Amino acid sequence: MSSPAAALWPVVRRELARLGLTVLVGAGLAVLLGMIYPIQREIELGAYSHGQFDLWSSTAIPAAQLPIVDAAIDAPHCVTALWFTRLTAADHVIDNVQLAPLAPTCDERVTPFPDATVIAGSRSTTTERWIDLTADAAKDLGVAPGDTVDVGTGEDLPPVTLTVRAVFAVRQTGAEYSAQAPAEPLFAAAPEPQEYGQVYVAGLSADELAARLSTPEIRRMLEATGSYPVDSESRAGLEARTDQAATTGLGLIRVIGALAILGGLGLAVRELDVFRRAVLPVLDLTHQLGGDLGRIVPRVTAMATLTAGTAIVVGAALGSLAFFGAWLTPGLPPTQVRLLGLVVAGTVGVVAVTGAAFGVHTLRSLERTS
Amino acid sequence: MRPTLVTWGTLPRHLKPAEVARDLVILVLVGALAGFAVLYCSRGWFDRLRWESGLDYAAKSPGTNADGLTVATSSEVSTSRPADDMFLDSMRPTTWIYPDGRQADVARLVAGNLVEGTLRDGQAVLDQASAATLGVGVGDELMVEWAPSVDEEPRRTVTVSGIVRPFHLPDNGGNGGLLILSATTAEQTIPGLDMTSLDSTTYDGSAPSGVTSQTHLSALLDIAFGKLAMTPFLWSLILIGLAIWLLGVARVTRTLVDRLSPIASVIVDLGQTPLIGRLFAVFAMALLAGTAAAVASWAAREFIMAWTRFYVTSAQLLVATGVLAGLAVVFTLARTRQVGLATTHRS
Repeated sequence: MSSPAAALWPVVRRELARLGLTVLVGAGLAVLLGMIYPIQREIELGAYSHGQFDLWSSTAIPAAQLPIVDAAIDAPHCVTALWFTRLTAADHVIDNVQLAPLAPTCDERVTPFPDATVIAGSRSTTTERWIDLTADAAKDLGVAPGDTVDVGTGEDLPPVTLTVRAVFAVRQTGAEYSAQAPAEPLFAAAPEPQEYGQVYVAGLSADELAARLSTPEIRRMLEATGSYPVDSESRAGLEARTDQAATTGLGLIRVIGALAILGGLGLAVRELDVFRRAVLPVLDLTHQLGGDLGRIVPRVTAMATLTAGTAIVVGAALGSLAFFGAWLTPGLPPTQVRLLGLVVAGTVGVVAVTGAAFGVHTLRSLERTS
Repeated sequence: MRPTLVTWGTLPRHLKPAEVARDLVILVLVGALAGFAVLYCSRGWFDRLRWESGLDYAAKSPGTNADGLTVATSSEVSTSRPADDMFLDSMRPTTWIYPDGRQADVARLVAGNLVEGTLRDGQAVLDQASAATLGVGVGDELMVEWAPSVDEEPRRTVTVSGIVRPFHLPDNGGNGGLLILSATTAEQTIPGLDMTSLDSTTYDGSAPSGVTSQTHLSALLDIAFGKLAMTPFLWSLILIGLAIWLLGVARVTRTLVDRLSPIASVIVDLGQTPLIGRLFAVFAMALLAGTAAAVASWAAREFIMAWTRFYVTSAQLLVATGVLAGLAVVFTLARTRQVGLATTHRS
């Protein structure tokens, strides 16, 4: 900067600090308030909205009969048992966990733990004795991928210790605690006989699935377990049912999201205006002392806009720590990270345009008065 | 120097209308966000507290007892407006069914909660939230049915004789409702209603053996601070909302102080009390924040009712406005000590 412009710096610096601090705090608070309900909804519906299965069927298949069912379905599918059990990790205990022991032939892509909802760990981690947890379960157990969890297998029976493989931002039909794990170690520790109780299928209609599970052999087996004919529910149906019972409606999300964006953006634009008004007299004086307006004003404007934009990004990042750290919600689903990124980028864009407009206005008003 | 009140009149001239308008807009924006958080999160708790405080009883206990007023409760009665005889847009309020001949006792029990009309033989009392959602008032017909009923017989209607404050059970997330009927009215208007399977609560009667009765005061304390109080999660949302409101207030106060300080200092130098600038700043901020809080809370209430179908009472709206405006005034009082004192400090 030229010498007169250098005299401007102390005033600009103080105003920039105010601008940055206010926008940073405002953006952080707006993100905290605006993202809570979208995240909750995403967690409540993620198992279905991102799920790769088309049908879910509740049935009863003896473990020994699994091969004939696998052969008959002949489409991507996953057969699981359904346990309601206790999980323990160190001194944390959660009860009534909906645990799905997965059959060895399970295609994991079609379980209600979709890849798009992984928030920690990875499905590709290779370990035989693994367990996937919902974010609520992981949070309340205080565990992360790599930690071990004891799974209850029955009264007076020793628990099975499994290693957490991945954590998913999902709830199954609103239930906070659910998990999935390979069936072998669990069935080996639990009393006989073992039975699978759920089938997730992709690429078949309900009628097609019912037809494939109606061969004489399977029909006899299902009739013996009291689960013939096979009724199934579509993923869309499960999602609609979960949506009805969900604590967060779309209306709520839209309103609070819109208010949060308007509030955060409003604060940023106001602070840019306050900054403009505060530095205007000093810019005028600098000009009278020989400073080049054509160089000084764009620089000051750029600094203010950059400060506001940076404050929005940093404030949003700090605000989202409350979700990453599982303080306000059990986690931050990846889809919501993208949504937050888009909103922040849009807000920074509007602030940049506003900053540029303020710069042009400032330059013109100073040129008029000189 | 002329008297203080006249001097006061010179201060507004030093505020810039464009800045005041800008700050009013920003306060409305952040106020709407804060108001939404406050109204939405405290709705169920506020209504429950208000409902309980409006009841008149000494003690209550679960179960039936002949020496008290026993109210049977059903959660399986659906209501809709008469035009909606397919119950496509129905509600499922809690239904209170009181014994015939105890109308006066029920009227005394809920007297503090009655906002319109009264209890009448053969008619029903409905809560304010359900009435607003269904669009019915005192004197209007209401269609009712027992939800598990599979009979094809036509649904009956009952006339609404009174409206009470919103009612929510602790576990229905602030989305409840209440219908009060006498036993005969219930039997006549809700075919299929199974009276034997209903839960019941007895007010002011001796508790059945093995059951402890709860006093009215302890029921109120349970809602206010105890096991039915608001969860830490909801408090967090409210506090975040209030924090963003205070951030807006802080920045507007700062602008106000910057604008008023020079002229207030001159006024002090001319012999007026330093309090004058501060008082004016607080007055201006109260006016600005009060207006913004009222507009913001009203807008937030309209958003909640339109987009979530939850009902927010006028009383809660007033409380939310008061909280937002009160916080702004207290904050401004704390932050405006320097207005008008600059010269005094120098001297």
